[in-house]
Formats: sequence, structure tokens, C-alpha cells
Amino acid sequence: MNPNTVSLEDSFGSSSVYAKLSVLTLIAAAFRSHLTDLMAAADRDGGLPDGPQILDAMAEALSSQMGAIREPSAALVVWDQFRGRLTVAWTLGTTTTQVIDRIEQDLTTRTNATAPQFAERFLHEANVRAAEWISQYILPNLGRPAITPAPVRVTWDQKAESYCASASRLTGTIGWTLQPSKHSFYAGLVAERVLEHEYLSHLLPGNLKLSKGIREVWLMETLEEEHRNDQYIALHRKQVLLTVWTWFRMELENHFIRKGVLERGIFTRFEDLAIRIRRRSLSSFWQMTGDIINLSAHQDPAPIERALKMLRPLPDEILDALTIPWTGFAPCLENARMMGIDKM
Amino acid sequence: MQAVERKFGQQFLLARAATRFRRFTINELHRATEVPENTIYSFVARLHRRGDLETEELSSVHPGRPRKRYLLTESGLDYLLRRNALVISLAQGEQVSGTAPIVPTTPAIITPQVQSTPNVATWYSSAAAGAGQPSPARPVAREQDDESDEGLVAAY
Repeated sequence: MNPNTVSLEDSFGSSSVYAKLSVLTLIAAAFRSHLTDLMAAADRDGGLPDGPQILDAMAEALSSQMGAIREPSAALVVWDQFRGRLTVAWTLGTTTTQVIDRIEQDLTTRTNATAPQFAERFLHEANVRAAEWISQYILPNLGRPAITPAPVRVTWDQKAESYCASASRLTGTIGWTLQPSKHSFYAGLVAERVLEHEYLSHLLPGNLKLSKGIREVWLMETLEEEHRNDQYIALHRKQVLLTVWTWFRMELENHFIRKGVLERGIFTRFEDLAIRIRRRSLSSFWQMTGDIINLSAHQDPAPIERALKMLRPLPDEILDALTIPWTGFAPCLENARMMGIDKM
Repeated sequence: MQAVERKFGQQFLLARAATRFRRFTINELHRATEVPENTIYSFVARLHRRGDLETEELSSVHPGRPRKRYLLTESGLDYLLRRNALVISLAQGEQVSGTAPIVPTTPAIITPQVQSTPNVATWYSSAAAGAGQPSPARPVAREQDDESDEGLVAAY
């Protein structure tokens, strides 16, 4: 497959920077192939480390070594560090060891094969899957046509200060940022979901002024809940991916809250609301999400923000009264005003 | 008083993590929230008593008690979502500016204020009174001598 949706910024002209991206994608690809087996094996062996702790050990090893990586074969050095960490900290069970051996074999084969443009292909395939998934599961609910994969531009952020992915509505492109941080490894494991989030939260909404709370919480929960309810993926695989995704989100949030990039308050303003409304009325939920996504550039997003903030802490009975059936954000606020609860 | 604040925040963090994971072990909740394990055991036991958790025993090749994984049931999820909404409503009742709400890693003292403008906190109060249940202020006070936050949720 020709990786025609992925391009690299100039810094990847340096072989050592390109090697960092290669190592990340090689390791992520090797883990992805055995992820379900790994988590099941850790469960079967019981005790510690559990599956997420094994992944965390690799995330640690990779992020700490990222700066020193100069060539793709360093993937095997990072691997040795990872195994060293596991051995020092824990006694691995037999089944877990067998799966880790298989991942090692897989990684060695991929690394020695030195497939040209492996990293670009890895991201391109994830991008195609992301666009397909959004087109198939999200857009029909919003009355929007299917989309084609957007161009992905990969950048290197040595200080890990920007988002690990971004999107420009103006140019219609997605940015993928390689960073020496733990969440980069998790992002590689669930690359298509990271890209799906960029489509849903940043490329699809027509209004550029939607707040971070709406994009990073409401729309993120929309995506997450749709995956939870995905009937077309084996239950165990789905649970594993959701676990990895949840650890990724938590790792990412903590990183950006520590760096002061993200304000923790956006979560308390909106968190859970999408899930609650979705569970109480699927039709209201999709109409609300449709109103958010389809808000045009010249419309004011403030009523949406105000209404969601107002709805977030309401008890079920009032939440239902204001959202079922859904009549729009302005009528919702007007009804709340008449009920005397618009000051929240 | 500080101990009360800490407990309140810990319950919120645990509920938040549980609604995200839906399937979790004690160890995972501990790593995600950094809440002490004893508090997590109480949290899990309370949900279990309510019938809000299903338990999966993980086989173990290691000696000792087998590890357990808990699955949040649909009713458990509803319960925790409602409870977190209540926490936020009480926290917002406390805020004057309405900006930067609190995720209580170092939580605020959450006591609903009497306000001239009707708000959801007062609605909770009247709804609870109508149902013959304690007002929302009471369970917060209960936390001073009781770890349980069951009463807090009774307002629903």
C-alpha cells in the first residue's frame, strides 16, 4: 500500500529523527499483533505484573531511550531495556513469558527486514481505518456523507510540549507528533483511535470556536461510547483496546495538565454528560451531537457551551425534562431559565 | 476536616476512574487514582453490596488469594454517573465565579450554600424532602463520622 496520506516534516530528513519514528512504530506494530494475547496471558498467570503494567514498562523504556535512538535497529536495544525492567521488578508467569517471547520474535523480524517507509505505512493504514470507521459509525448518525482520509503531517517535538496529535480545519490536515513521552507508545497502540478523535473533534465540526471542553470531552466521549457499543469486534479485543485507550487518555491528560497545556477544569464541566444523555435517549444524544458538529462558522457557540455546563450537574429527572425530546440548545436554555436553573 | 475533604475527593476520583475503565482490578484503580488501597477496597465493597459489580476471579499461578477483576454493571454505571453529577452540582454551588471547577485531588469543602437564586442544589433539597429523604447537606456532614457516602446518593 502506498503511504500517500502521510508526509514527514523536514526534521525527519535527519536519519536519527527518522529512526525514532521507526522504532516507535516497529515496537507498536509488534505489540499490536499480540495485544489481546498479552492481556489474556497476564490475566491467566495472575499476580503482577498485570497487562497494563507490562505496557507501562515498555512506555517507560521507550520514552526514556527516545533521545538516544539513532537508527531503527535501536528497537532491539529498547526491547532489551524493557525486558530488563520486567525481570528486575517481577517474576513473569509462563504464559506471559511465552507471549512476550513471540512479541520479541515479531519485533526482531520486523526490525531486521528494514521495510522501506515502514513508519509512514503504519500511520497511513491507521489513517485509512480511522476515516472508514468515522464514515461508517459516526457520520450516518449526523446526516453527513462519508469522508476520505485527510493528509497526515508528522512532526518531531523534542520537548513534548504540544499535543501528540492535532488537526487544522483550515487546511484539512491532521498532525501527528512524535514525542519522547510515555503516551507516544500508547498512541501507537491505538493509532486509529487517536486519528478518529482528530476527525470527529477537530476536522468535522464546522465552527472553529467550539471550546476544548466540547471537543476534548463531549466529542471524545462520543467516540469512546461508540467503540464500547461496537458490535462488530470480538468482546475480548474490544475490552483490551478500551483498556489501552483509557490508559492512553489518562497518561495524556496527566502529561498536559502537568505541563499546564490543559486545564483540569474542562473535565468537570462536561465529563460524563455525553455518556449520561446517550444512555437516557440515543436520539437526543445524536441530535445534540449533530447540532454541535453542524454548527456553522458564523453561528455563536456560546449557547452550546452554556447549555452543556448547565446540564452537567443536573439530576436525571431534570436532565430528561430538558433534553427529551431534544429541541435545540437555545430552547433548552430557555426552558432551564423558566425552571429557574439557568444560573448553574 | 482535612480528612473529610480527602475522603470526598477520593470517592470522586474512584468513581471517575471506575466509569472510565468499567472493568478494573484494585491494582488498576490504585495506579490510576493513587488513592490508598484500603479506601479502594471500601469503595469496591460498597458497590458490590449494592449489586453494582460483577466479579471475575483471575486464576493465578502465584501463591495467595487469586486476583479479582470487577465489572461495573449498567446499574452501577448509572449510579456512579449520577453521583458524580451530584458532586459537581454541590461543587458548583460552592463557587462564586463559576470558573475552573474543582477536580478534588485536593478537594474543596463541599457544602451547599443557601442562595436567593434557585439552583439545582436547592432543587435537590426540595426533591429529597418531598421523597422523605435527607437533604443533601446532611450526608456531607455524616462523612465526618462515617466513611460511607451512601447518604449523599440517597438524595437521588
